[in-house]
Formats: sequence, C-alpha cells, structure tokens
Amino acid sequence: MPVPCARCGMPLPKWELRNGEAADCTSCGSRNVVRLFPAALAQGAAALAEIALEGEAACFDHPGKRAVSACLQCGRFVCQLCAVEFGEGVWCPSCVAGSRGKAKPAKSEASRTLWDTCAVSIPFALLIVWPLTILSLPAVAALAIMKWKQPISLVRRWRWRFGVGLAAALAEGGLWVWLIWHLVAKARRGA
Amino acid sequence: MEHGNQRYRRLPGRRRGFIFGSSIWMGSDHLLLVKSARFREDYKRFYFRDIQAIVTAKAPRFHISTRSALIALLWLCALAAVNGLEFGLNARGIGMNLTWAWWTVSVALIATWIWVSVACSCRCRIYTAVSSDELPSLYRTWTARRFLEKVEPKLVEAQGVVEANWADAVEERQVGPLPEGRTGLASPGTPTPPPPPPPSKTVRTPISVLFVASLCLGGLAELLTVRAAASVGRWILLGFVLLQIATAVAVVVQNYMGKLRPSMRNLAIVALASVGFWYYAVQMAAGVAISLRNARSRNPAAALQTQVQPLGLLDYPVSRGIAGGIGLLLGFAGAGLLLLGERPSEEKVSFNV
Repeated sequence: MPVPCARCGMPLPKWELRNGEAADCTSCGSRNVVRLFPAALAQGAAALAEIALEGEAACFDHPGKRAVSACLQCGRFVCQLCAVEFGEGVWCPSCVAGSRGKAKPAKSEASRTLWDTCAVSIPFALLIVWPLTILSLPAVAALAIMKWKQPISLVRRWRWRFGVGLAAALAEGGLWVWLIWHLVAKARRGA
Repeated sequence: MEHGNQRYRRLPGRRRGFIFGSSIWMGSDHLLLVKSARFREDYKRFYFRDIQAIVTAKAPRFHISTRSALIALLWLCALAAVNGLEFGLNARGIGMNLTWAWWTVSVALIATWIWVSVACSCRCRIYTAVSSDELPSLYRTWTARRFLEKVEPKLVEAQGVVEANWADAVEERQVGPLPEGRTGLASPGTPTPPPPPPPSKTVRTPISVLFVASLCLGGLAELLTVRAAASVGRWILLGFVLLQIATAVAVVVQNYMGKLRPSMRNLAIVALASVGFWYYAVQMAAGVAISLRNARSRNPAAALQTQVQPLGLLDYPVSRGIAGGIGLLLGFAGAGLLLLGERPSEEKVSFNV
C-alpha cells in the first residue's frame, strides 16, 4: 500500500509520487507533501523473530522463537518480538508493563497532571459558586506545599502559576476574613 | 529543559486552544508530542529510527487560538479608544470618522484570517510501523515547512537517505499501522495480537445514581413548589443545589479515578456550569428589576430592604421555574445515560487503509 493521505487516510496515487514528493489525493483532493524515510522500506525484517532450532535457547513467552537477549529485570529469555529496549538494557514486555525492580524511567512517562494549572484554576473556578471560595485558600496552599518540589512537566514549564494561584486564593481568603470580622463586629454592636 | 539525561528543544508550531493545546519537542533520539488538556499533559514519543514518513496535506483549519482571541479583545478595546478619540476631536470641532477606519481594518483582519485558514493551512501526520498520529501543533503550512527543515536532518542522520525510486518500492510495503483484521505484506501469516481490553468503566455507581436522582428530584420539587411560600422554596432550592454540587464533584473525581465513563463526567460539568450560570443570571436579572423598581418607588427604605436579602430574590416563580426545568432536563439526560450507558459501544468503521 502506498503512502496514505494525511487528511482522509486514502492511498495517494503512485504515479504522482513518482514525479516528486507531492501528490494530490484522489479522494479528498488535498495536496500532500510526502517526506519518506528508509524505515518505511525496511519494515518487516526486524519484526520477524527467528524460529528456534533444537537445543537453542527459546523465548519465555514464545517457545518456538529463538531467544536473542535476557530481560534485565527478571532474567527471562526474550525473542526479537518481545525484546523491548528500555533505558540502557532490554526488558521483557511484562516487566515493562509492571515497571518491576526500579522506579519508572522518565522516558516511559506517558502523562502528567499539571498541578500548577490546577492551583491557578481553583480560585477562579470556585467563583462560579462564590460561597465555595472559602475553600480556595486552604486548597491552593495545600496543593502548592505538596506539589511544589515535584517536577511539573516533561518539557519546559515555570512555576509562576503556583504563585498566581496563591495570590488569588490569598485575596479571596482576605475578603472572607474581612467579611467574617465585619459580621462578628456587627453582631457585637447589635448585642 | 533537562529532565534526567533528556534535554528537549521546542520545535516550530504550537497549538494554544482554550482547553486543548499541543506542541512538539526534540529529544536526543526522539520527537516528543505533547498534548495538553488544561490539567493534564499526554506525551507520545517518536524515535528517529522508527519514523517512516511525515505527510502534510493542505486542508482548511479554522482554529481560534488564545493568542488570536487576545488580539480580538485588544482590538475591541481599540474601538473604545477610537470612539473616545473621535468624541474628543468632535468636541474640538475637528470632524474625523475613525470608527469607519476601525471597521475597515477589522474586515481586512477577518478576511486575512479566513484566507489563511483556507489557503495556508494543513494537516500533518507522522507515520511509524505501529502508529499514525496527527501533529495538531502543525496547522499552518509555513510552520510545517519550518518543522520539517529542523527535523529532516536528524532523521537523515539516524536513518540515512531514502532511495530515489521509493514510490515503486513503497508500493509493496505498509506505511503506517496495519488496518484492523489485516496482516502486513512483509509478514504474511503473522497473527496480530488482540488489543488489550479497555479498563472496565461504568455509568452506574451509587454516586452517579444519587447525582441523577438529585437532578430529577430537585427539578421536580422546584416545579411543584413554584407557587409555594418563599421560605419553603428557598430551603428546597438550597438543599438540592448543595446536593447536586457535592455529587457532581464526586462524579468528576470518580471519573478521574477511572471508575466512571466520561459521559457522566460531562453531565456533571454541564450541571455545575448551569448552576453557576443560573445563579449569576438570576442575581443580575434581579438587580436590574430592583433598580427599575427603586427608580419608580417613592419609599427608598422598602426598596433597600429588598436589596439586602439576596436569597429572597431566588423565589421568583420564573427563575425557580427555569431552575426546575434545567434540573429536570439534565436529570432526564442522566437517566438516559444510566439506562443506555451499559450497552457495549458499536465498532467504529476505520478508513485508515
């Protein structure tokens, strides 16, 4: 199958790709610019695990396939299909799934919660139902204290959102203190 | 940014949406696609040695970024400034129609945005043997071009250069992942492993049932007591609103913990937003009504008394009727989700051949 169109996924016409790297999709009519790399042509060769002959070490999960390496964590033999390059060694799929042995390397992280965005959003989101803003200062302060030292994002990101969230929560907390003080003073005057 | 041994450099293109955003970063041996959804970032890595192709297709993209929204807001502020300037000039006897110029530039800006969205926009996809992913941050052709200029040398360094007549060679290969139910040409007979079962999520938990019940009962109680005394209506309203808020927050938390389906979470978010919207809408409408009444009243003390009882405004039959109607509608939607949500979803047809 030739290269699929980036817009509709239908195959791009080969006769157009022969003339260069651009082709018009015959389905959606979009002009596609294709940058192809050798991995597209070498596909399949590496994925096939070799059959283990008699007396040869075989894969733990695929007894019929020749073992090419041992898992760095559990020591099980793995075939070409099962070998997962993980960190500096080869792991078996079950150890990768369970992150057995040591902490997860940073490279394997698939997602992170942005606690700084949570901290900056809480004071403003609670304004929707304003009596709930009484909770914003303790919530943001607790979040900032607990998560300040944790890495925020895998890529570049500063911590100013924690500061903005704390400032907004402090302002709301200050207003609450003033309101309560005002009500207490009023009640005392009335008594 | 250095993380452990990994240093990432941002590549051209960034999508800044109101909720969703995206960017691409270059590591030592891979590209990192970062997709953010307000409070969460998802990462996907594409190793240089695995990337088969990067395809860019021209396509209209009408994306309103937060940056363009800010420009539009500033431009609206400029209208106020223009009007003020015009008023000042007119007061000094200098007649100048600046508002006309503002409108002309506005139309030109909108026309430019439409032209760029239609003629200079694209969709960019990156293919590996097992994945076909769109790169959302690359939605303008010039950004995609600059991205390729930065990435291509790294890919060539890792993989080398593709042969000249690749169009014929690639015909016998599979670019991108295999469609479901088919095996690749290069590996005949290789059985494709079944996908892992999705985590079991449901729409029926005690919390979600309580949430839907609070919506239905709250809406019904509101509608039935529209003509009841203000004190009775106020407590009914407050009781059910607090219950709805508490259960809606619990539903969102349960969805975050992976127990509830997103449909119920969406209903909880809509319910929370509608409570907030209704609350402020009623306050504003009541404020306008009081202002009008005060303007007509000859007894300022009585008018003031109404203003210092904000919750007293909530017992207006119209506002309570609207609240009841919204609650009942959301409750019906929730009941529908509870009844239909347990059915297995139908298989989607994929055109990714």
